[in-house]
Amino acid sequence: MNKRRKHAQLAEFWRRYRKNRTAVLGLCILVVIVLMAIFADVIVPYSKCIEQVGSDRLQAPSATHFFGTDEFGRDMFARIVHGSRFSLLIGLATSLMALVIGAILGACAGYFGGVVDNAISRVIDVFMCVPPILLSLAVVAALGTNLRNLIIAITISCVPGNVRLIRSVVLTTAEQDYVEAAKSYGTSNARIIFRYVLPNAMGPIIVNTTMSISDMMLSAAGLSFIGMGIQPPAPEWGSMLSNAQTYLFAAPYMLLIPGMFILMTSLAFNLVGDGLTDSLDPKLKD
Amino acid sequence: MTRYVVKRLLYMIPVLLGVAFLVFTILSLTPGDPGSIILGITAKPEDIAALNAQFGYDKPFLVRFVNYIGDILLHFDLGTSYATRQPVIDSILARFPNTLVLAVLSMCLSSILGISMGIFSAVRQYSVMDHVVVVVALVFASMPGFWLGLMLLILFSLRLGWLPSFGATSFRHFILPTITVAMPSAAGLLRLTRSTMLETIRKEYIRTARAKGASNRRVIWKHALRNALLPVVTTLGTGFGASLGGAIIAETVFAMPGMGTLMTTAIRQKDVPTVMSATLFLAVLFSLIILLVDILYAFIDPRIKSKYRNGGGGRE
Amino acid sequence: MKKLLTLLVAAAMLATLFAGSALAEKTDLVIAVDADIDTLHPMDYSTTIELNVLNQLYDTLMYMNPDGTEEPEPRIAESYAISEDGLDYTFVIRDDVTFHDGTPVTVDDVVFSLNLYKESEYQGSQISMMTGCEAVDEHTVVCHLDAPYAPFLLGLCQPHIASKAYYEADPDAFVTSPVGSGPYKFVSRATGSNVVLEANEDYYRGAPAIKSLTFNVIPDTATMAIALQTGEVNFAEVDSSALLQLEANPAITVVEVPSSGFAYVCMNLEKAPFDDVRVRQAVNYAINRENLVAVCYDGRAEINSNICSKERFGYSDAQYQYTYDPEKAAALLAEAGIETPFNIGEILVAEKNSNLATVIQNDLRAVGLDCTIAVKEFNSYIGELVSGNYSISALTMTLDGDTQSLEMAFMSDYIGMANNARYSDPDMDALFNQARGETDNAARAAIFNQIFTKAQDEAIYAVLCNPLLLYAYNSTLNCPEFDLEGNYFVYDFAWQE
Repeated sequence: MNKRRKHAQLAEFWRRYRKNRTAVLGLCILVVIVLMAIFADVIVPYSKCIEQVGSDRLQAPSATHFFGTDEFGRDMFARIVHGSRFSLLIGLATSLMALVIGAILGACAGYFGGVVDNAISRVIDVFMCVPPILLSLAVVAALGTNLRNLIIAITISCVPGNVRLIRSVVLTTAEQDYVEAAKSYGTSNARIIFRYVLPNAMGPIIVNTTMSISDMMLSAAGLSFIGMGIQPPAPEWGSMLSNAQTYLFAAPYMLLIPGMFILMTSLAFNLVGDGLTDSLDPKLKD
Repeated sequence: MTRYVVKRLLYMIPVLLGVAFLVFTILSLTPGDPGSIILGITAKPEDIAALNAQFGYDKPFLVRFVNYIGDILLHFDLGTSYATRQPVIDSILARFPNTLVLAVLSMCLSSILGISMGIFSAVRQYSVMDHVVVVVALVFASMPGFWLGLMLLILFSLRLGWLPSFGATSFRHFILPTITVAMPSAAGLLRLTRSTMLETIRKEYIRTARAKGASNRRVIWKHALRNALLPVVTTLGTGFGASLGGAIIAETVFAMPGMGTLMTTAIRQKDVPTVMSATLFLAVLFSLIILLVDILYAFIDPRIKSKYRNGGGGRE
Repeated sequence: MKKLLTLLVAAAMLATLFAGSALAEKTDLVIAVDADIDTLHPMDYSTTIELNVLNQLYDTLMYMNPDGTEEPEPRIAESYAISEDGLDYTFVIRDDVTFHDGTPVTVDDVVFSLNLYKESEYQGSQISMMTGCEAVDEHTVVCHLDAPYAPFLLGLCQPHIASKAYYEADPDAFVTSPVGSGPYKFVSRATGSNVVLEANEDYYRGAPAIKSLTFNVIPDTATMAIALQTGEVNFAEVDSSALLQLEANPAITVVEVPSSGFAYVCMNLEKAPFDDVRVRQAVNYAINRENLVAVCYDGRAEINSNICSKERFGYSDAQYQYTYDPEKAAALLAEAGIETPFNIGEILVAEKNSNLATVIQNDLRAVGLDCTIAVKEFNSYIGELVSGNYSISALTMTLDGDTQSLEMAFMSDYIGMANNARYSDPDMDALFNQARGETDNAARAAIFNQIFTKAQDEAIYAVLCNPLLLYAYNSTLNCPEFDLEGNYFVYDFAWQE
């Protein structure tokens, strides 16, 4: 594949992506949020988000505190800006890890069938029946608590669903003529899976992965009760949201603002996911 | 087909044993013992030891596991809860109906909403309505469950006074929890249906059908939908698991006694018999639903159905 | 979508038609509790919620009047006498008390109940010093002690009097459908959901005004606040975060009840630098308690650096109070030879107390003590705390009953249990032993004064505050004063005419 052709392909991809206005909007939001994460230290120093000013507790948004202050008297704007780093990291890392593991296991199960499928499916069945909190507890017990293990714990609870979904998609794709054709040419299994089967199963997989990013960001907060949340006082949107729950009546903005950011981010990921599905699909050259 | 179903039912046995062993192991690995959790920090060590002995928790891990499984298989006894000191089955039977009703209601609501709006949206791809539907769905999907539940509670119970704020004694009690659980998964289903629909609509056989002069409506209902629903149906199975997860939040927010809250409290109290039984109970239910989904699958996809006929092969 | 919405709206409207027809005379009461009622065993209970339900079902031998006189008054006992040497307690039992099944409460039931309570693993040391208990005649019970124990009568306010015959006939029913001796009878229980009781019209102190009583389980604090406002719940202990909303509602009354529970920082005295009294004093001076109470308790806690709460026997303003003084803290650290910024490692904390740790971390950093916060799941937290595998932690604790129970925080016998500081001092042990045997109130107060003065001087703990218990209820409900620990007796409640 020469450089020029690659370039042309990219241009073609972009031409198709651009057609979807909401997808472009999603990309714009995403770019803004990612820039915010990258330049967090430039926007506002980290010390701002852990500095507690007792006299400034629960202040509604104002010129001095754009997003108000929390119950400790910390500036919510600084916490949102720096929180984007942790939240994006958790959302992306877990979704990608779950995707990769899910894709490998799901594709193997769906493509090879037989004993391989049986073995993988039974293990997945076992894991699907165990409550996610218990799996996370197991990670805590075995590995201890920190950001890395938090990511592992969330990923584990998400893998079984991914495997099942990808397996089912692969099941139908593996039947297609082009796969049969590739097989008859003696193409290696790995090559068939990665070259023909998975790309053609991409639609639901991308949708599922982008959908899961916001779930992942939220479950980080849900895990805090077993001591698996992010270590305080570091800011993270999910735990900001769940802490704010008790201030529902007294300071609704504390719930609204991190909620909006989680919503916007996952909306952006979803819109981009939609756009990707449409423009990456090889069969879709209309 | 029968052979296939029997085979699948037999597969459930190793899966259930696997689940039992995994959960038992995890519970044993986590720190703390039921005696000190129940009696707290001020209790005397000898009282804690006495209580643990009373629960049989002083015996080694494997002995406890074998005893536990033995009691289930030989005496159909799920054990006695450490927290209530009553048979676990009582706690489960008191809560299981609520969870089942909630899960079924919300699955129905989310499938109806999700699939119908998904088709609607796919057929009108890139129209204003398509964008509106997708964005509204995404807003629901991106909303944390407890937040949605609380908002519903404030609107319908506190402000309007139409619906009760807690409990599970009548159909009215189930309305708000059902919406809370159903909305996020409806949004997911919508997007999945839309994307698979779009993909199928563009496939060769649809084009062929269209070229042959079949009406648009017929193409969509007869050809596209059937194929598009395949991945959707799979997620229905896993979606049931997700609605059980969502049920935990709804059960907490709406103070509805259910399996979700039973399990989370039991995990925190290290109430091994309750956690084990609740997990196994849900595992059986879950496996049955997955089996049902797979059978449904076969009916929708004739290619797969033919496989069962040809000796029930490895793929189900 | 549209159709479904219409359907939902229609259903909701229909529902409102059937709801909300108010009763002319209200005699029922709904109480919300935030955790499941696991058992109704009169002795083997482990939570305050279970105790509050049992208090309505069962009566006790003695009763602690909330009037603050520290003098228990007789309840099922008609009168009592204490022997000169303080070793024998003689109780004369009332002859008009019956169980809910109609059988009279006899001396045998009292002896049975006291023994059952004493032997229960679930109960603390309230009457563990009782060596024997026997019925002398049909109306008289005598309890024996080995050594005088001043708070014994207070301890007897705890054991519920249950029926021996009923227990022997069916130990399962004893728990699942209890027959009590109190003002309310058991009606039904739905596990995880509610417990329903009804008035005992034959109660020996007269029939209660509230005829039907329901305890509903509502775990979420926001939902509980909403249910109070809609009137579905009439009475509940609430979280401070919901107060702003509840206090703004004229139909709801909120009362603050002092409690002896305390939030505190405990430091492991076996580990440097907390083995140095000056460092512990510095920690005490470094924390801004006023700010902490505002942040963590929305201002609903009494600031107090003394482990003994202000309402408790033995408290005196003469005992030293630590106040916020960061300069003094810095000076003490310098005196102790600590070069700031100094890293003291991790603050170990359970998830529910992570907000305490966040404030404390900030205050300590201001005086040059740096630390990170290690949040643990509750069970593993407790494990590390009692085994001494930590250097500094923040938590809340309740050591209720008589002031004597605070010995658990200080005596060397309790290391590995509630003595989390791992403090060991023979003088302190001796003082508590002395207080235990002293029956003269003035002399006891003097001993406790010595104890708490010593505890404050040595800064064994950095106590922060006593959180207030908050009760919210319909303004039309009459509730008398609540006692120190916030136990309530629905017998004393009534709806206004």
